[in-house]
Amino acid sequence: MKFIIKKTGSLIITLVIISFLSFLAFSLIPGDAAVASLGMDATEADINALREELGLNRPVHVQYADWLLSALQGDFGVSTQYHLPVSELVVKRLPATITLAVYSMVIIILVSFPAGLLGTRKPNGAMDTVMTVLSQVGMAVPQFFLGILLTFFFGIVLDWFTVGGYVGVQENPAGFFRFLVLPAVAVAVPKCATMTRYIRNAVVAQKKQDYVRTARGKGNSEKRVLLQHVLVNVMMPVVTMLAMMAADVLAGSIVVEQVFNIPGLGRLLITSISNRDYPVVQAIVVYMACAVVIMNTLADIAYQKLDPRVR
Amino acid sequence: MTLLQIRNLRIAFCSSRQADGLFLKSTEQEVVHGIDLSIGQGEIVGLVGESGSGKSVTSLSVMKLLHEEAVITADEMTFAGIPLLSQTEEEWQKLRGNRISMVFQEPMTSLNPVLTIEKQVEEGLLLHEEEKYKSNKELRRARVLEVLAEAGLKEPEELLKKYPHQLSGGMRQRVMIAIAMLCSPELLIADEPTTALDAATQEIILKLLSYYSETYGTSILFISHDLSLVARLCDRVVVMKHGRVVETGTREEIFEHPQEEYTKQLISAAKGEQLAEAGESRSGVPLLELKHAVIQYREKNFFGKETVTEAVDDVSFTLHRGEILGLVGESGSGKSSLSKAVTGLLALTSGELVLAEGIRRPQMVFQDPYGSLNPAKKIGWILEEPLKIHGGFSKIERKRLVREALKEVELDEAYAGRYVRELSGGQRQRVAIAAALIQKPELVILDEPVSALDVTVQGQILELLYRLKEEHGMSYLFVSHDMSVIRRICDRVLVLYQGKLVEEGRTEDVLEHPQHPYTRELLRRKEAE
Amino acid sequence: MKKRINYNLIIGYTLIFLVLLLALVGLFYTPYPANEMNVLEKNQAPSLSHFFGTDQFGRDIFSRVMEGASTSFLIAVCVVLVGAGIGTLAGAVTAYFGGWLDAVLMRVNDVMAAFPSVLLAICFVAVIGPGTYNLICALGIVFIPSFTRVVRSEVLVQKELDYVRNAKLMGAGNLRILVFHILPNIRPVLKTSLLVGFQNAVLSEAGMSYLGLGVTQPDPSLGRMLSEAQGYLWNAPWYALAPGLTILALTLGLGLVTSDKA
Repeated sequence: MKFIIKKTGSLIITLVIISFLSFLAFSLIPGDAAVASLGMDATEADINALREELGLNRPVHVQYADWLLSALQGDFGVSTQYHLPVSELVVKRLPATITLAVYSMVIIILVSFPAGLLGTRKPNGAMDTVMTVLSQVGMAVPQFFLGILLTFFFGIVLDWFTVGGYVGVQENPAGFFRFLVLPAVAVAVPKCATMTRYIRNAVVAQKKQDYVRTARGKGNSEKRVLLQHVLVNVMMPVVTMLAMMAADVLAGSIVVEQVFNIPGLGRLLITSISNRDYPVVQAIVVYMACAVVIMNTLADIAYQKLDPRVR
Repeated sequence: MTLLQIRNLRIAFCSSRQADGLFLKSTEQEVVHGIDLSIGQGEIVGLVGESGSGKSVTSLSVMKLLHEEAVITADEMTFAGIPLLSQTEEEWQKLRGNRISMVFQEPMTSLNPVLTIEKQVEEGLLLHEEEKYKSNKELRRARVLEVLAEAGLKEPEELLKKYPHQLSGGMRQRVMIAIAMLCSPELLIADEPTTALDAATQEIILKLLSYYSETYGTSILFISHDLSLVARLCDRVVVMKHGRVVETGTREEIFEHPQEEYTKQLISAAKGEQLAEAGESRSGVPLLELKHAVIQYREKNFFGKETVTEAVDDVSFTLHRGEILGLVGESGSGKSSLSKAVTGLLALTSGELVLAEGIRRPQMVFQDPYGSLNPAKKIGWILEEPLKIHGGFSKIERKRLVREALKEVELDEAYAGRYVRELSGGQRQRVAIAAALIQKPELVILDEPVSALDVTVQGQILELLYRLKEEHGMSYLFVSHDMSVIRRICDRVLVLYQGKLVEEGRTEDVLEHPQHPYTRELLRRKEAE
Repeated sequence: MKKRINYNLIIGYTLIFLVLLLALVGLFYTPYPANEMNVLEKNQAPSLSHFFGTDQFGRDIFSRVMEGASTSFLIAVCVVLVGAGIGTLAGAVTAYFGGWLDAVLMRVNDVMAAFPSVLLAICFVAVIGPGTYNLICALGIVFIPSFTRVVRSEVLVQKELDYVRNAKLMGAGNLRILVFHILPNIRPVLKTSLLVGFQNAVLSEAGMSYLGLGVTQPDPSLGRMLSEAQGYLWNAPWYALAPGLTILALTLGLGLVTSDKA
């Protein structure tokens, strides 16, 4: 309990630092929101008037406090591009990104456990070598290139789906979920490969431990040694690793949304950057960073619960 | 009747593949070269040897617990009439933990860190015993409590839900023994079961083993590097060296009338014969004086609250020129802190350290010769370094001094071109001594310099240290927990207990007529062996 | 003693060598000027005159892949140099001396590690704008924490070892201990993380350029080419394959060499 409070405390501190840094970064950009929304042709007086109105003339820390207070109430300001509240824009894009991320995590978990265990029966044996090579290829392939390859094969050669044919969850839920499978594969494959390798190495390392010798000495079969003794020890670092992967999955979805033309947070982020729509960029960055930090904290707490040694 | 019969056992390892340029290299090496071993029903056999003798490997092969790269062959290897080598993996599983079981050296790592004690103890019942245990948790628990209690664990109910890290080393080893004895095996293999434990706990574990042997007629194969333990427990002794059996015989034969030179060496090393004629010829000129030394460790936590741990509490002593002063204590007694303070690696919290005028900086030889020499550098570089730092030597002079230093510690000058990892433990310790020596110190602090070494090597290093001291007129502060080593080499001895100096005097006086109860306790454990 | 060819290493080095060769030659010579447009030869299939065909402006894809590879290589090398240089220094110094500097730097590291690296790089580029040099800066900074962490934890282990104490007793100074004693001992770990870092840098550069946040038009970059090629997947799949496979060859080669070290 004490641990959870301590972790939550440091979580809040980290979140404050993150939000402050991202606020500071975007307030340092030459050409502020006033310039951005009025355009380059606006007169100095107009800009100054708008600055006054938006409160951009106040000191940074005051602006930050102000921004943080409204952000906590879900108000991230107004998009300079769409002239809509940022939160409204973000919420509309959330389902696609969240579904994509959840899909990818599910694929990673379902694939990497069996794949990771496959080669551990005989390390450096034929099966292990095959899995090693496969995971090396998986780790090396860029997610967007994989996305393009998948589009080419399943969209163009096999014609199983319409390229760029994203449908919203409200319009056609079945189509929405079906469409996101391939993008999720593109996001998941490199992470699957990393995870497979990680699990494989962890299991092989654990199998060299003394307690495994004890377990064998009791008369356990190899299978029972793996399931009853090794896996419980491997689980803890793997859970931590999975939580860290959530960050990578989120990052991967930024790129893959671009490949498959999915209107998610990532695409909104990239378009907003090219349109210099900073309130939106700021909000998304803070959102994503928060998601990652919260995931990591949850993993820490889970670890604490799982491992009797640190309990 | 013979329970275990082994004839001409050979074990070879295929090393794991290692990168060698663009190639992968693996080597096959035989580590056990055809040994014979037999254990009778109810017999306790001691298997003795130093590290690398192949004794652990042999014992693991009896349970086929060696990793897959091991190649085991034998003319005969039978357990209760069962030919072991032709068994299938399933047949092995029925034997392991049921009819043969094993206790290992390191009880902390040998238990699964994330399973409760109950789960780990009861597993054997699920694997081997009849159906009644499989469905009945109450019955299992009753049996688990029974074996835990038998292994001398008080209040076993308390332990069931605990994890290994919550137990002391001695308790863990008892749990390991309880696990091994759960299915009443005919043969118990104990591989250095007491090495990781302190002297008092060693005692208890030995008693426990002989109790099982007497009560259940369990045969025991007891593996140890420590002859004194074997002498107390075993009916018969097998001495191994470099993968071969050197000598076999009953306890009396081995200890009263050893035939082989190696066995004699082992026995005399265990007894510890004195090198110095204690304390008569010493100068009485003080070289180092410590006055009311106090060392505290302060730790501030997150909120700035300070916790103070007192490692050394008001210790004063004088070390004379030409003297070997022993500093005895168990881990946590403050002897490491004290020795670091003397070399200046650690500052005294209060008190005074007075070195004789004009004395060069004291040097130190550490316990673990694997860690105290830079693994990334060649021996020559390591020995040359202090000369470079202090300057004043030409390159040719430096090389010459390195050669001389190597000669002093009885190593060939070719060692200058080697890396530390290519050397044995004893050779490394020689290099460490040379590195200290090359700076011509008047005072050297030896921090458990032989504890990590095999007994026969211990003897050689102690003799070397003694000879160097005599030739160069140095003085040593010799830190150790091992009374027999202290007896061999020290003129005077200080006994440190919980940071305090509890006894001081000539080695003979202290060892023969100890005054403080703690010293007596230390000696009693040693005597018992 | 048995010897077997280490296929991982041989294939890995071969792949790296091939891409490196492409990149090195691309610095001095390309069959066609990489940015030269030719309306008469738009969207051509691979042929003898254009190994990988031409793109929508009639530019020679092979030439562009060559230049793109050298850009990728250069950027990745610079990124690793910046990240590893600053990261190693920071990690070694903070771990060795400890104290408040260590505490502060570790906090900064933690915060930076909270962002997915691509997101962090995107943030930097969003603030300082796209372009080759800005990309190197952004990615370089993003890569610092991983090196700091590796070096710091290694130095923390090494500095407690007796050989460091021994060196202190000999009178070696802190700088001497760090440079001559500790650094040689963490070299194997550092080497592996350099290779991993290089692989990540190649992947990140390609990703950023693909998103249009890296190398700017009209300079060729492998990632950028892929994003352009995506529109022509139906009629010119080779356009996407050429840069994509080049990136894959490089990253796979690095992966194979690294996995052998680990």
